[in-house]
Amino acid sequence: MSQNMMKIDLSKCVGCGSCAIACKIGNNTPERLGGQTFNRADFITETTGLFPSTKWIALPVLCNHCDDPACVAACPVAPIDDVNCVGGKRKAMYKLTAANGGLVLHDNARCIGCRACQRQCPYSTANAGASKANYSVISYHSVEPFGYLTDNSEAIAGCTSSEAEVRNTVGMTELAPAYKNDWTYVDVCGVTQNDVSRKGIVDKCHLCVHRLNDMTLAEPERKPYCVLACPAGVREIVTSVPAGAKVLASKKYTNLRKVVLITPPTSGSSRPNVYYVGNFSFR
Amino acid sequence: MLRTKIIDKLSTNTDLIGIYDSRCLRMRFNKNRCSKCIDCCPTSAIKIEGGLDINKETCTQCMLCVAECPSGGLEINSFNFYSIISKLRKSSGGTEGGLPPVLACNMQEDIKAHINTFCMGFLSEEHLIALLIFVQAPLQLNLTECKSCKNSFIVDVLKKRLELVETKISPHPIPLPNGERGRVRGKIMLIEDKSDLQYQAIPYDRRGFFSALKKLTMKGAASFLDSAVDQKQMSAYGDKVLPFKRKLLNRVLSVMIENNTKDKESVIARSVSPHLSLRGSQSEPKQSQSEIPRFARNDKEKAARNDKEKGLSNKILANYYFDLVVDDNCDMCFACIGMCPTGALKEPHVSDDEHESINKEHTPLNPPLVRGELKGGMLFNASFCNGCGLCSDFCVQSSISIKHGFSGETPFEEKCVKKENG
Repeated sequence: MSQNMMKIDLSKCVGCGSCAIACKIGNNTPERLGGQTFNRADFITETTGLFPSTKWIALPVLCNHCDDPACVAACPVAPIDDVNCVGGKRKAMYKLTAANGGLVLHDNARCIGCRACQRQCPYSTANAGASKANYSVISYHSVEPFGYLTDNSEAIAGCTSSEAEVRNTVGMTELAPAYKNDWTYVDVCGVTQNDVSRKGIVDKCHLCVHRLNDMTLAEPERKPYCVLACPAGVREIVTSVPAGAKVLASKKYTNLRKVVLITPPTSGSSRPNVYYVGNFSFR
Repeated sequence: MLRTKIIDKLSTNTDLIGIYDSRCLRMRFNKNRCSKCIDCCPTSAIKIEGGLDINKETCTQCMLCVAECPSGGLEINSFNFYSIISKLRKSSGGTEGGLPPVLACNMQEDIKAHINTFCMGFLSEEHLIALLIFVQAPLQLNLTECKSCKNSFIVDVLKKRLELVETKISPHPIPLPNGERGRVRGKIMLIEDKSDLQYQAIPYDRRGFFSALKKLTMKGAASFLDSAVDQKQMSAYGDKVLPFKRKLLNRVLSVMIENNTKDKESVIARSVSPHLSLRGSQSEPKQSQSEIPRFARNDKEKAARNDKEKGLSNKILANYYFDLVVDDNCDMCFACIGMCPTGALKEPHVSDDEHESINKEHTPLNPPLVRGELKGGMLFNASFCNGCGLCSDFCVQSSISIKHGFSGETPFEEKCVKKENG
């Protein structure tokens, strides 16, 4: 296996949002709340200029799984030995070696919720509302995600039953799959991740690593939800830098709002692995 | 399966000490250099780099690390210290002539004691204070066999800890039951010489014998069938856990504060032994009731006693509790809240109840607050703070400082240490 990269062909993207919907359903991420965007794969749009010379762009976004991730450097948790991670050390946020797929992954069980990764990530903001960002790669659960599933209070006081009661009545004792986040990627690196996403920790894209490495799936199915869902084939998992590729330049806290595309990735950056090709301007 | 379990159980050096990576200061913050457990370990059995671990081969189970760890990263598995306290209270009246109860370890056979526990290295300063306050009679720690034990060093350690406790709270002597004002040393006696030991076994009657036998066999069976062969505990790093030492001290302090207004004996009895009956409380209820007016007979005396108690609780607050100061540079990033291992710091999120009540009254000019949105400033609860300093070390703005000694009204309430705008 080699470093997973994503090629996003903007000339094909119409901004339908299938990727975002598929991600939300597949990974069961919570709704936007308290300045946190949560969706792991999303699309953002921007309209500029005055009529009639207006410009509208749609831009699919996700975690860049950088070669030199700032989030991993910022994580304060003491590293434990793991040969499958870059540098042989695994923190709560860690990058797998290229031989293991090169993803930047987050360990729910070891996360202490300090949000240092979120502050240091050039593509994230602590409060998307306050910094007027459209999207943040890393989000923080300030309240219990899907707490309503186990909520015993009446939906309408004195009138209806509670969410938990309804679920019990119809036999939905299992919580939604990704809330449990009960998947392993032992095949990749021997790491078992089966802790739930919960209040007080951060949450980010894992490029559907559980699908990428699930040998029970047919070969064409071993792709992230956002890739599978795209009707136009905009998103594509690649292993080498595509021709004419550009990456998102990022200016901290204003990123992903005023989108600038530059080429090629500068050495000082975190060297992201998501590339954009094609013309992104629509009139 | 049972056979392998039993063999496992017998062959390993049992998992007395639970290891909680998630609470270890070094595991939470890679720049932290806490090495208390390594420093105190006489056999260098503890390893921190690359994951907290104890070498079962060399560990002598002296429990010094358990007493030293500031955040409860090492704690004794399924051990109830409160039951020891209540048993000591019970046996202090059980012997004839009122000889002080004896506490000893179970490292060797036939150590004379009313209660046997692990190697007494686990008695931290907080444990000693709890014994001072909760066990009314003087207490003997039987260290007579320590000389021949591999853990002989704990005698010096215990002496040192008692001295520390004495210097920290000594201007306010602990009241002894006979009316004298004894010092700490007079209250907890370290007995090294066999001739100094005053021990009288409590005679068992038929019922007592059989209940003890039942308890022993049940305990043995339970420990054999316990599936937790793996010593390593897995708990999430995001979960905040207060170390037992701090819980114990909080209990002591809350009892002392409550004590100023109520009868001491009943308050302690309620807090220490919910399941074990106190001396005389069942067989002679009249006597324990008659003690209340005796204590309250002289108002002046009572007031003086309360002053003494207040002084003592203030001493504990000044020496064992911490205060947190946040300066103006704080930009409310709340990294400290995630870093804190015990949950002393809290985010001022709108709780669900508040959310409902606020939104009932909202007007178009005052839009409803979104659940999970921030409201107010950062909250600090001193009774949860173990003074580890992770928050101030980790603070990007270096705006947090930890002060030794708590000076506020009560440590049990959350107070706002950082206002939202300023």
